[in-house]
Amino acid sequence: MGDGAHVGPMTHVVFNKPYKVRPETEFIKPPDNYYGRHLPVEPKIPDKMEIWYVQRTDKGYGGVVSRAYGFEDSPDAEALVLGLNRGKEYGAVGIGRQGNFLQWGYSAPPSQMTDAGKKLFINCICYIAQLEGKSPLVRRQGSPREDALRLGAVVNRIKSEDFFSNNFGAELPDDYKNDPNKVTQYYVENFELIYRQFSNHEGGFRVDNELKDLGIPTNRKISTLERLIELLDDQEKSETAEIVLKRYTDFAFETSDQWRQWLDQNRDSIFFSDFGGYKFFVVPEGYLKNK
Amino acid sequence: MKRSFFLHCLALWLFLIIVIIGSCKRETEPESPTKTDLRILYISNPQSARAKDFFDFLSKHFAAVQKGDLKTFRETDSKDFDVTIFDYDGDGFESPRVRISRDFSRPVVTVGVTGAFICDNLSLKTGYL
Repeated sequence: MGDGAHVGPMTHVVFNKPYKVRPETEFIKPPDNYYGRHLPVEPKIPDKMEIWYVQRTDKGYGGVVSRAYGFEDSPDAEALVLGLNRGKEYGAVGIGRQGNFLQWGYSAPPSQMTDAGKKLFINCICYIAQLEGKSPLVRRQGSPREDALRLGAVVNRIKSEDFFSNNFGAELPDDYKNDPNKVTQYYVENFELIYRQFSNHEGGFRVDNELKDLGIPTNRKISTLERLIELLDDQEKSETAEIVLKRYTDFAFETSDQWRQWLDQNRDSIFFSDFGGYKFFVVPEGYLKNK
Repeated sequence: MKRSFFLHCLALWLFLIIVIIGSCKRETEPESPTKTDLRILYISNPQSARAKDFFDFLSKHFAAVQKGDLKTFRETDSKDFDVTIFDYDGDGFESPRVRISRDFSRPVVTVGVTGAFICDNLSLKTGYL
């Protein structure tokens, strides 16, 4: 990442307190890598993009962006500024926060920051100061589902013997090895059912066919939990429902009533994170209070 | 009649003056008039020009700023500060690898490549490169 940032909503406190950040903006043609790394499940890349400059080093490198995929799948993380970059995807994060850690991906010291960049830097410090004790809720335990498409798109270009078997081996036959379109098509069609847990290293990205057989279209919504808990009382489907509940939660209740009680008590605090290992988690009480 | 007209004009003139002065004041008022009452620990290569650049800037905006060394940082160094900033000069790939435990819950700003490596080491999204 170089000096630039994409213009996004500026309602967050880091753009407003204590300093109002008013960047000068301009429109540019998107870098080629945005088109090359565009995933079929993402909105189209526009012909022009509005950007502003956080710093003025006149270099297209030096800073670093974090991957966009899964960044905001847990309520402890926020993409504050998307970095204009020439190596990763559009949406990669130039300034982001997870828990009590705020990453400022830009490289320059203050003397090379723009006025807006300086103000934003101060505001970021003031913002993170309020988040003492708010440790991250998830750590990297899974590869976000978008990575199945990203890696699938280059499956014929990576020469490593293990690449295919490590990422797609459990799901796809060998004849997909040289056909990136077939690989991505398969995962696009099953996007809502993809999972990959580092605790289970057998063969990379999987599609949850058990969930599919139960007639549940996605693995990451509260409605998924609701339906699985209902199915615990269905003699024919309870065994599969139990297996799938175990896959996506770290809880082990014995009866459907206990599951139901847990869900009712925590419904508004439950989130699903690919990054955190394709699991449902509960936000601790009071965690979001100071945000 | 004449007097009344004169008084109306005077009132209008005074009103316009107040409006103009008021709007000029808003334009020139600093947006954040005081130093922010936070204690900042800036951890980097303390002898570098970059560290001086950050230190001078931070000192203008925050009540207390202290420098520290990335090579020797310990979590307990942060205990008297509101925010700890981790940074380094030069090539971030070559910077010392600071170890921070997963229990460390003090507010942190990580900067650039060095910062991303710290986050990666903690398996955070901000270090997913």
